[in-house]
Amino acid sequence: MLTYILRRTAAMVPTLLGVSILVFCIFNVIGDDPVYLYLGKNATPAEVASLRRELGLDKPLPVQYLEGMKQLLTFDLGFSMSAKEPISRMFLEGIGPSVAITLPALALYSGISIVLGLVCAYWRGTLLDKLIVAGATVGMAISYVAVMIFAQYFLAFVPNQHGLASFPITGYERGFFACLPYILLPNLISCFVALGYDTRFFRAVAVEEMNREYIRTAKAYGAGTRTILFKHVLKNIAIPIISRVVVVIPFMIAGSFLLESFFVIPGLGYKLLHAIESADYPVIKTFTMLIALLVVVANTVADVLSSLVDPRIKLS
Amino acid sequence: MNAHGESLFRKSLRKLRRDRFGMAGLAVVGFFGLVALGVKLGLFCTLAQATTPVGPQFVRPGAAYQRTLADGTKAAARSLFGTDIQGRDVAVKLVYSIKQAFAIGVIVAVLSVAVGVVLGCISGYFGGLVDDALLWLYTAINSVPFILWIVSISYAFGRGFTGVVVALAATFWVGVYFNVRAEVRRLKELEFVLASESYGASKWSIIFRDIVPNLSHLIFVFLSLDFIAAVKNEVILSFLGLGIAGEPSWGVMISNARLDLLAGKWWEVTGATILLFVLVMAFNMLTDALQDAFDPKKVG
Repeated sequence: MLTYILRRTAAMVPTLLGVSILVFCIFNVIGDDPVYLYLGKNATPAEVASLRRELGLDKPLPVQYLEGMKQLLTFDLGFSMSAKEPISRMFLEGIGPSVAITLPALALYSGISIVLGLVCAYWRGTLLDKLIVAGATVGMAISYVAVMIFAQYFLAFVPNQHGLASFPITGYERGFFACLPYILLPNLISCFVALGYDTRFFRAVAVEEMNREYIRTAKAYGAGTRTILFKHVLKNIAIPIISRVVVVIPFMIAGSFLLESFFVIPGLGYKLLHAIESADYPVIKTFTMLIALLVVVANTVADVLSSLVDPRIKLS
Repeated sequence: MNAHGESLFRKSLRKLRRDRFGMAGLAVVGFFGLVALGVKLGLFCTLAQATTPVGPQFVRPGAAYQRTLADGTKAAARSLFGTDIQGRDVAVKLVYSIKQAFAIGVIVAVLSVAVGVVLGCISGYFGGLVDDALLWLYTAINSVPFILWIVSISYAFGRGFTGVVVALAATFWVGVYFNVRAEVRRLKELEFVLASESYGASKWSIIFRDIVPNLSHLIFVFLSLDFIAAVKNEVILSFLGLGIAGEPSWGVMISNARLDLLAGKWWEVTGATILLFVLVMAFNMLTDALQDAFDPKKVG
């Protein structure tokens, strides 16, 4: 087991190397000169030169890349250009709100969609199955942005106008209990958006499992619906469920971008977008790299987890 | 079995034609496509019409108002779908945005599928060092959330149509690449490829004459999938302030009009949402039908 974990960890290195080179190319080779973007049109040549030196952009590209990597490895990430805040603190502060608006939703919609998928697979072809599938297909076609806008309008804005107690329209407060009212609506929204995709996915997985012969045997022995669904099928689809959770991490990050900028929640996505708006080059580059790092690590953890669940995955 | 010598492709088409949902989706997509073509050819709802104010701001849908005509004179008119904050006709903007959606969807889908198929064929057929390098690139791109690439690339390219298209195509090709690569690796061991090899056909002739036609199912499905993804992501990018600039699009309309909604001006954001929903829904139904019809395992 330990060798497997070590091997998986070692496999992260080339991937992370690739990611870091790509991120570096996007920002330092393709991108417009960050110095001009930040200073605007009226900058004097002296200002440009001094900011270039400050950001290390006057050095050759390979040196810039290596220095960036050194900063990442030592977690000495420098300061933001606009607020002169340490980037490492900005990042650590952003993780909390981002997790708070996505993780509860992940648990909620995964649970609901697994149950719906199992129900569809068991009563496949009936009206119930067709209704759930149709609902999921419709849900998938609604734009994330539209769901946010209309949910805020009908669930927060309109009730507040009529003096009803409801969700706060925007904002965030730190602290476990203080943040609760603010994270409810964003979680509800990301739950709604993801439900369609996940229900269809788990239905497909469960349908495949229901067609196996051992299920027919179990039915022939007179096993009840609940036993078949939750004892046999659910156990056997545990692997796709785990790998699905990893697949949706990117989806959650997209959600964190949209929800945080719309509801003004100071998470990672909000801070990154804010940095983009103010052309804060060090923040943009470092945040992109760190989020990428988090995702690669999460992928590896999920791989190790599924090997723990599934004895068939070879560890050698 | 294939008793009458009917090709797999024709069989799939026949299966597709029998799929009622798929055909309904295709009809809607086709209608939108015709409208987009009409706008592109300048028959109606031109860019000038979509960006010039025609009356006072926030005329309600169906309300009577003094419409400013193209020659500057005013005439009494009934509004079709209201006007926006600058007095521009929302209905015209909505129709113009159909062209925008198709422009982005088609360009991104064609680019990403072309790149994905070519690289996938090279990687799958030749193997070796090229394969390793491309696979490494694929792993690097694929292990980071696409939204992060899309946001950073469109930031690096600057706001606008080109930035959006490049960002989306540069990210979407990896899905095509990986599936094509796997399929090519399977196909190149089959007898018909071995036969071509044995009578000395060139490698490129094998790839383009023998292998690529057998990828048609993947190509159709990915064209459709990437079109939807591109249209949906345009809305997200516009919302994040990285989308198309200077021209109307559903994304721009939705994100600009979101504050109008709080003031009770619902029509612009609702109209764009509904049209976007209808197009994506139709395309989703078409994609499902394509997947069913062209999956070689299901075509009997």
